[in-house]
Amino acid sequence: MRFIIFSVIIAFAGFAQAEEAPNGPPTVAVVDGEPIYKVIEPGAIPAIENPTFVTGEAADKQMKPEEPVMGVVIEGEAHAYSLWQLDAHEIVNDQIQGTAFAATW
Amino acid sequence: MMDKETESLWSHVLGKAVKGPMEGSTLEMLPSTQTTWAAWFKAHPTTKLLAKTEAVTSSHYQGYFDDPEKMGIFRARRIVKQMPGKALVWGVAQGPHAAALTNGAVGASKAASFSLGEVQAVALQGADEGVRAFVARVDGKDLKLNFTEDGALKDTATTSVWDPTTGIALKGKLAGTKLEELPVTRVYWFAWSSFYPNTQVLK
Repeated sequence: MRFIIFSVIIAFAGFAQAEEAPNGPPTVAVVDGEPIYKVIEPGAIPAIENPTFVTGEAADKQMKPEEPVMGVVIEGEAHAYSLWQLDAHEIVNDQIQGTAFAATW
Repeated sequence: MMDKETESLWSHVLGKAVKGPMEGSTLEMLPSTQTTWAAWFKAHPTTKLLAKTEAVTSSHYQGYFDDPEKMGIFRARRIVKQMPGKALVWGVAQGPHAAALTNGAVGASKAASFSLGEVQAVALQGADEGVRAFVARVDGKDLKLNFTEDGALKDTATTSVWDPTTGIALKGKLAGTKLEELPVTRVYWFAWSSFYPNTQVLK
């Protein structure tokens, strides 16, 4: 099954518990005794579902040399994602050679 | 994270569904790394880049990155005080075993060996300057990998030469062998130590 994944910006509590009860955000789940809060609506940060890619030569014109990227190589095929761009999307539902994956930031 | 199909909630760090119909399921984590565009493109000349549909020339979150006091949306509380919460580490986990490597622990000619429970592992900086981790074991025997004076990465048992970017032996007795890659997460220390409070630290 291929899932389409997107951000809901929950503060997964784990040990990173709220310092003080924040004013308002509803608790949507409790995991290991720790609350998970909903801060914004699901999809408010739109995940990329049908990504399009450009070649490295074309990308070089859009990118600063020091711009941070996440990179993945599957069966010799490399995909890179600008982390500055992912700030606004956080998740890319991608695939390489039939392997479906989510690049998450 | 949430999946559209079942609206289950997933932990971004663990890849595990924590609430909803998929609760308890875990996604397989694929190896990836982080580096600069220039270093990535140089080492992977055939790479493709996620197309930018609008100009993006900086991060929305630079203020967050630069502020040592801001740790998460609600501020992490139980921080393991081994280093500043906003220190960036490379995290590797296998089951309950975890390691956090600082930039000082692994570098251009520096391999970092460590163990995760019974698993002997090595972290290496690749040609793209990204860090990756591999299981340092071939045919049931643990390997010790080090960069030699000529800059080549070799194992001490067979002196085969290894590629730190792919984990493949290029020359020598083990030529063609590929080490199993362990996914690495680039993460703030406050977050890693929250998920893995017993993590070992390599500085």
